[in-house]
Amino acid sequence: MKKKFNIYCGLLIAAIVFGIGINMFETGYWMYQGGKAGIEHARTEREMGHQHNPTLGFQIISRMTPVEMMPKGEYLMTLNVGDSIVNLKTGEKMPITTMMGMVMPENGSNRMKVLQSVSYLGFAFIILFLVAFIKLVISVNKGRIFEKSTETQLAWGGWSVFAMYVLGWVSTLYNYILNVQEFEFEAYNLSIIQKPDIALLYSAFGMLLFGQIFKIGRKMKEEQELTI
Amino acid sequence: MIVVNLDVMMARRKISSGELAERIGITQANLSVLKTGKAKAVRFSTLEAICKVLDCQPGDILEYQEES
Repeated sequence: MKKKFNIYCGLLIAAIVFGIGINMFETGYWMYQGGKAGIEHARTEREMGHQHNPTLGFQIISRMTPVEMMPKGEYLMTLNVGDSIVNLKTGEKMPITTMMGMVMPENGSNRMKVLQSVSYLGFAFIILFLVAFIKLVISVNKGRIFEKSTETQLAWGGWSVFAMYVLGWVSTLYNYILNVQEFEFEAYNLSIIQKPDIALLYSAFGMLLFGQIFKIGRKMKEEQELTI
Repeated sequence: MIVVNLDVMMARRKISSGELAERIGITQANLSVLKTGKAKAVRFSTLEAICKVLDCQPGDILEYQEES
């Protein structure tokens, strides 16, 4: 019984680490691309006798923020969205609609600092959730199932996940509101496309619910123990 | 609330907690829980054993009182 419990716990932790790993890989990949482009550009400039800052790529990336948009109806219907891209397989230029991009707002550095702060806070809640979850696994393996500490660990885990969901919306709305104040694009309406995953909310409330179920179990156990 | 008057019967029969607990087949700790009114429930088998050892009726050791 405990073996299956431990296997499922291991799978859950592996899934969480995998999710975090993908996010970090994506961030790292684009930082690398920006840095690589900056270094390449600096090399070219140096060959032409111009001075250039090789860290320019990183500086530019650090000031850019994501923007999400939907093409305006009239542009979409005529396929005249104003953007085109070359298909290297055919050599043809073809129209393309963009739904996500990176732009450089006026106070990009400040905005990125705020978004990074929210990310760090979210990461702290991930750590809090993992600590509570690991403590729960240890408690169950020691046979301490229907105890107050189990409910506490589930509550900490549930509220941590809830906080992660809320922080996701904080950064999404913060970025969206500032984008709306600063940008208006010809062929696109600014939009929120990538919303925080609702599964986080289900998981949060699920954990809180299980905490209450364990509480009921603890009361039943106490009553059983006090039945002479 | 149900009040357990075990002490009274134990005094009448001149039997100690340890001896009573041993004869009815429960631990002294559980007997103490019963005597101090902290028990949530009593099994009929336990009640039967108590009544047999103390030679009394359930009503002699269990009493209903209105909660104030």
